[in-house]
Amino acid sequence: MDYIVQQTLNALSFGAEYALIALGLAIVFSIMNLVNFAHGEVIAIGGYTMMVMATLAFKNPIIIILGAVLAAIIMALFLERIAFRPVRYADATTGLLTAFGVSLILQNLFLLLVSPRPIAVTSMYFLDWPIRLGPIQISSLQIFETLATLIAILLLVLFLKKSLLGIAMRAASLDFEMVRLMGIRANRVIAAAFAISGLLAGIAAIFIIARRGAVDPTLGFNPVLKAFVACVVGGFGSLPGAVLGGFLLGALEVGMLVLLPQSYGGMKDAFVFAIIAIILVWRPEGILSPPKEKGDKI
Amino acid sequence: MRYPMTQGLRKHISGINMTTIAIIKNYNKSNIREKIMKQFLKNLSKILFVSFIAFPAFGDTIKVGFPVPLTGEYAPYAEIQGAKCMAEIINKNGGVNGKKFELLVQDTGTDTQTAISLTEKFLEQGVIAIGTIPFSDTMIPVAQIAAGYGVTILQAQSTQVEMHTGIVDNFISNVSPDPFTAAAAAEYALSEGVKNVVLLTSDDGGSWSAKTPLWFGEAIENGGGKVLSKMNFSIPTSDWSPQVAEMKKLSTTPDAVYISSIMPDVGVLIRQMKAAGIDAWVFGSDGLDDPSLDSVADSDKSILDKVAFGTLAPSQPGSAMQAFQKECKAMGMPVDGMFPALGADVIMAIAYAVEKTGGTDPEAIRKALRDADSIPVRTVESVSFKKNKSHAERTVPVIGFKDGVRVLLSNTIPSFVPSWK
Amino acid sequence: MTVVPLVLLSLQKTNMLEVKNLSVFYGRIKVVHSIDFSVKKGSCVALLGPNGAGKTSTISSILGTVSSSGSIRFLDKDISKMHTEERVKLGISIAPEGRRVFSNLSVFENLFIGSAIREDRKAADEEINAWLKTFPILDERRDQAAGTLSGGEQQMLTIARALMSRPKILLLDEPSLGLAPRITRQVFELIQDLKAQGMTILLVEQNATEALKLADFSFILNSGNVIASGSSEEILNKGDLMSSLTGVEA
Ligand SMILES: Nc1ncnc2c1ncn2[C@@H]1O[C@H](COP(=O)(O)OP(=O)(O)OP(=O)(O)O)[C@@H](O)[C@H]1O
Ligand SMILES: [Mg+2]
Repeated sequence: MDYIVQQTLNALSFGAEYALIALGLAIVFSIMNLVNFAHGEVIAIGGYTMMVMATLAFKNPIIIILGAVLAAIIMALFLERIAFRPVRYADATTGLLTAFGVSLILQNLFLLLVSPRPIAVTSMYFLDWPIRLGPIQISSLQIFETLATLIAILLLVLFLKKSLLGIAMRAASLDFEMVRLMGIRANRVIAAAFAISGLLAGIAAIFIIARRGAVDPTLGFNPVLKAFVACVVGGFGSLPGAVLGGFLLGALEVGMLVLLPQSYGGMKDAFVFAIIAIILVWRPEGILSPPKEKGDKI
Repeated sequence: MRYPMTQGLRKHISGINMTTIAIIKNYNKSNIREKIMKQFLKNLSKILFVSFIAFPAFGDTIKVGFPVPLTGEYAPYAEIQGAKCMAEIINKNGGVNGKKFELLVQDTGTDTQTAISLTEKFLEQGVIAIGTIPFSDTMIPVAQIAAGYGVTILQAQSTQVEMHTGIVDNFISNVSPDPFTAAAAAEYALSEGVKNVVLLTSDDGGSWSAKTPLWFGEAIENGGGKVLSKMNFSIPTSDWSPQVAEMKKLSTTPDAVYISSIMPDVGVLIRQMKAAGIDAWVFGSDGLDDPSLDSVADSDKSILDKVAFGTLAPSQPGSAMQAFQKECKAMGMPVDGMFPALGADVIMAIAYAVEKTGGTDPEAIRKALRDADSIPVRTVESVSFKKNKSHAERTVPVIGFKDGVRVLLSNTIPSFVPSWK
Repeated sequence: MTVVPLVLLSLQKTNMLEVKNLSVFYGRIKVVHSIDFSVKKGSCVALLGPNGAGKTSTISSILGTVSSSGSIRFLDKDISKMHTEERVKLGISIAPEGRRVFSNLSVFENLFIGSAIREDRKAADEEINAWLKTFPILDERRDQAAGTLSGGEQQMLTIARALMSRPKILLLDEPSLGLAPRITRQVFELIQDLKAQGMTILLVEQNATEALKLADFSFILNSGNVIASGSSEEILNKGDLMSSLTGVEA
């Protein structure tokens, strides 16, 4: 019983991380139809910023956290400006390939300019200490990360429901041109989406670094692959879908790891993908696929 | 040789394609997989093409070809820094029999096809040996092409067992295959009284991550110990809490856990086990031999007290490798980490063979290498290929930590090595 | 005392919107061929024509959502090179073909986003409430997704949304499309009201009968060319033209 509770909590914190990253992908996709694979490198920028700040002898963790988050936001905005704006009205494949290209270039820049191997960044270790609740053992980091994800979701929902820009972003996910016809600048809405995705990436970077204690060029790429799968299952472009998909993927992964006999262990990913494939057969657009605009367009 | 996330990544990428197609099928009906791959390759060749010839040719030189990964996922394993530094040292001292080294270096990224094309180019330019991407799916085809020229693939850091099954004859590895590092770690573990072990295995890194733990387990059982459990993981893994919870559930507390994976992943495992109060050794392979492991002890020096790994060459303070790295740094040619440093051995072995044969005939070079009882190299005193032909006979160091600083725990040729061929 | 009406009179004479030599393109295909027309302040101009005549294309070019050549002057400014958003800010607003309410937003949010460019937040909020009072059915569904409204309700919402930006000219693209006759009448009553309040209107319609009742001046477009124009009376006198073009007995 304790063991089940323990593994459920573990699955929850896996899911929280996936959800946090998946949200960053979904918010950009929802209004731009762009699968931003470079999101991982935005996370990595957060990590490398912490590395740089550590070598510059920044000690205050709050400043390091703020620095990393800020760097991620700036990076996201920068990528939008130089890489994604030129292909904004191109088809989805072009956007996807651009994002892949940007991701690859950045990974190799990290590799050439910093190092191909992991570089220790231990300034976030302080977030991580064990907590024992009777027979259950969790880490403070799991709690922080799950909480941060939940708070991020909450704030995001508030922003999307209450602010003009947030409402415009929701509207833009359905009919961007009509949003422009309301006099709202497209660049502003898109920049807002990227800024939010950058913010989420920055937060994710903090937790990833707190756990891994090191940066390397693929720091963000691998989690983003997972988040991408989460988005697909949840329904790409749907924010609740991203969150649901994230937690579902976390549960599936931990579940498979725990339940599969060791001799089938190598099949873990195959099983996870098989279940996802079944879900997609049932719901080809993902579980909570966002509505598609119907009706005539100008 | 740490064997990174090839298969894992490949799996993921095919996953992406599958799902990508599902997503964008509405927008584009053309073959997306092909487009993505094409774009990948285009980007690779365009952006990452780093090409340079290390040393200008002056008359008769010793040409060695390095179609290696300077960028991409395998870049950490490139032996180039050490090879270049060693060649420079030898050249500065007048070369070998008056002949200077000329290294032909070009980036392959992670791409086997690029490695093959570059190999052909270098072979035409008259190289006498080649080092390439240290994975069998590249090394085998490269070796097959080089065989036509009599040229040897002399690999600084390859531990893959696949290369020693007789597929190709012109392959020589400067280090011992994975079963040796596992056996050496097991020998040390047994000497520390380790009895009950947990093995963490993953198919994502091929035999390196899947079989090396099993070899460790075999050696432990041969010494009277017991394998309590085997558990799975993926490469990469950044959260081990499910496995740690499983360890806690075991009825017998393990004395040691063995894993062959990469940094920083194993660093996370060490910390999470410690946090969960599991007081067991963590043994590993050369994947742990990374400077970033040391910083796991940043906040708690004792955390690495029970961490040790069998590796390819001693790298603790005071080791020959560190002396070499210092020398290179002073020359303005930094060599970061063990894998690049191992490149020095390859250059020294070639230098030995050139001197011995008095020429640069590649077949004669290979024969000289395999005939020698002892060849002086840089990261250890000497190696010999006489007994094993395709890999070195050399001592396998087990490195641990004392107060957060690396120490050499043992350095022997293990007496029991599980059968692996 | 007589100055004010005179000023109004002179304003009424100026063209609020003046389009010259306008061509509209989709890629290389030209669908509107060098047409001219203008809309005087306070007037209602109807743009009539059969399916595919280029009405929507024309109206879209005024807001810059399709590519066009020629001159488009609004309040004596050439707006043809401006971004769509800037044109909206100058005072052009549209209730587009097919209504295009934001179906995932609530009724309130649709009106709210309509007022995006306004700075007098308070007045705008009051106006939203006024609209909700005008259409009690919208008030009932204030927090419900607009996608759940009926076609007629959506049309009312679309027009209200367009008006929330306090436009100087309102472009209406087939507001009666697909609506039951009773609802159609309501929509035209609303337009009539707006006109009475002095709103400048460019109305695209296939329902020529209703449109001509409202319009001070009309153009008939066919295959991207203006083939006739004049007051409603003049158009109605060319009865056969109307019926052959639109299939509507005038
Ligand atoms: N996005 C587009 N791409 C290519 N051609 C288009 C596009 N939109 C419209 N057209 C073409 O332009 C011409 C004019 O279309 P438009 O929509 O302006 O006509 P309309 O008068 O509004 O017709 P309706 O009464 O059916 O709404 C038509 O031949 C149409 O096929
Ligand atoms: Mg139309």
